[in-house]
Amino acid sequence: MESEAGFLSTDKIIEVKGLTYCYSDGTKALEDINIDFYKGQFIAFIGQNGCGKTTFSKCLNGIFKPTEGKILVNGLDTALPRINKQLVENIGYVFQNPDHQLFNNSVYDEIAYAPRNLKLNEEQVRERVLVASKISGVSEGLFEEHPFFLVKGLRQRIAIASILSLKPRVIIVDEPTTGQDYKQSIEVMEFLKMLNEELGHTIIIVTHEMDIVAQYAKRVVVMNDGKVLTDGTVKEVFANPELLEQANVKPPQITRLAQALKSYGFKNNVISFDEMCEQWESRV
Amino acid sequence: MAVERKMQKTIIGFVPYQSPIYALHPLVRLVIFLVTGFIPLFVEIPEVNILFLIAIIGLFIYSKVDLKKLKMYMPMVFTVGLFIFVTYLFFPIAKGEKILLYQLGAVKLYYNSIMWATCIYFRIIALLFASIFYFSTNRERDMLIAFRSLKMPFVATYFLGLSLRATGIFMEDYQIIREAEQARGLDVSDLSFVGKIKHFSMYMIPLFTLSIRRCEEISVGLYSKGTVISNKIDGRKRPDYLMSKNPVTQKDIFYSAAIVLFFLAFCSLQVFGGVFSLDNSPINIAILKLLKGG
Repeated sequence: MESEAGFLSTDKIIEVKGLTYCYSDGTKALEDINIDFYKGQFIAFIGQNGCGKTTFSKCLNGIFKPTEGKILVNGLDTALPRINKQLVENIGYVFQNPDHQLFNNSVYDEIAYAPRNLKLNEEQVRERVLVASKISGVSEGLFEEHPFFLVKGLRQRIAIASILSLKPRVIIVDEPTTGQDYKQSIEVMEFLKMLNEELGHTIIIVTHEMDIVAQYAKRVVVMNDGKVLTDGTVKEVFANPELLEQANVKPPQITRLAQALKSYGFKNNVISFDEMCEQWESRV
Repeated sequence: MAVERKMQKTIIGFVPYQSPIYALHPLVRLVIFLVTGFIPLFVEIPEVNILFLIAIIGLFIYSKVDLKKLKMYMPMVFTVGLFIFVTYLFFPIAKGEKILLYQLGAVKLYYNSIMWATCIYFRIIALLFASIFYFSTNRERDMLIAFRSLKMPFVATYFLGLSLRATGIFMEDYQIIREAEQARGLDVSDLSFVGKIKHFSMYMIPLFTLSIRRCEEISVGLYSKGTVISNKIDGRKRPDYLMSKNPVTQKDIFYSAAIVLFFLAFCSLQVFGGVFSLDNSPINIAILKLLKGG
């Protein structure tokens, strides 16, 4: 495992032991998941719809309590009663649709909502709002605006800012690029990359976009049928198309092109255009 | 994922996957609902309504409804009780003989008022459980079949279907918003009662905004599919898939008629004979006897 992915770090931030989760209608959404996540990683959860990615994310955040097994976030057991306040300071969850997460009358109140839940005084709250909004690129001029009437990209930034104001060590973002054009997608992903690389947040994204995974993630968890099918670095995971097929996932096109040219000596774990060019040039 | 599921998610809640009550046509189930929904209105005796309640719970068990799901209604059961008893405490009724039980300043606790509150409470709870039973054993599709079997106009059932769908989406959004609040450190148990009420109003902003956006999407979707709100297409009756799959048989009509006749007979006992009046309540009679020292 490569060290840049944080795999060799012993600094565990999330420990999942024998996690099983059943919905109230009896549907077993997750079954016996055992996995650890380390500080500073950029992780992507991939898999087809209904495989349990979002449910797993909500379990990590403590929104869903494990039916069996245990999840420790920075040593805190998510199943404990009244653990929510401590938990949210360690792990934040940005929902797929920002409209589900915005319920205040102004952008300022929206970002201040979570710190106020932590019973901070108004001065501390303001400080957090200013920092979170600055990092997220939400200008102070928007503070009095109603969040619902802003464009989607901005609403998403406000949703992320509203989580950043909690200063969580881990941020889970559910489908950050869904419904956004290329420019907006890149902006959101660059922003998450900055949070990861410059501010040291552990980032977990849930996504279906393999190009985004190849470009930004360092570690990939492939889920299928409520279980972890495989887990490794991006190169390791995408180098195994047969395994990915079980989860109805295909590697990015550039990887598939390299795999198709394997008989010509191309590596099967190419994940970027630049890498492909390098390999091409070395052969021409 | 292959699992053994006992309950099936519907737009409104959960229904059992398999249940003996599904042997009855949706029309018969609707008639049962209407009858069980009206019976408590004709009953004043709390004991009878408690027996009725037990019968409804028996129906839950017979129909294989997961009784754990009823836990979510418990706060409502207590809140309704609290409101009714407090109302009758501060605004006592004039009906019946006034027997003062206790006085604290200007607040007087009259027996007849408390007894009447008990009667109203069990009546409402019986009604509530009868409604929960219907929605716990009928999917939206069953409701539409039942209403169309009653020859309700197509337009009305169409709007009913859309309304049920909207209700389900509204509740799903509500659930997600609650999760989003939890993800931002809100612990509702920390809030006072007034705080909880104020807090509830906060949900309205995203819920209504989402609803308006969804309404527009659904309207555009219906328009783009050339939807005509009529049960006739080019002058001919629109084919009805639901009814073709679930025709009403003579057996269903017989069952429905029998239930309605039972209901009419039951109501007659109260309307013409006052059989279920509070004056005939054995508990009421016994307590009155005790209070009057006889």
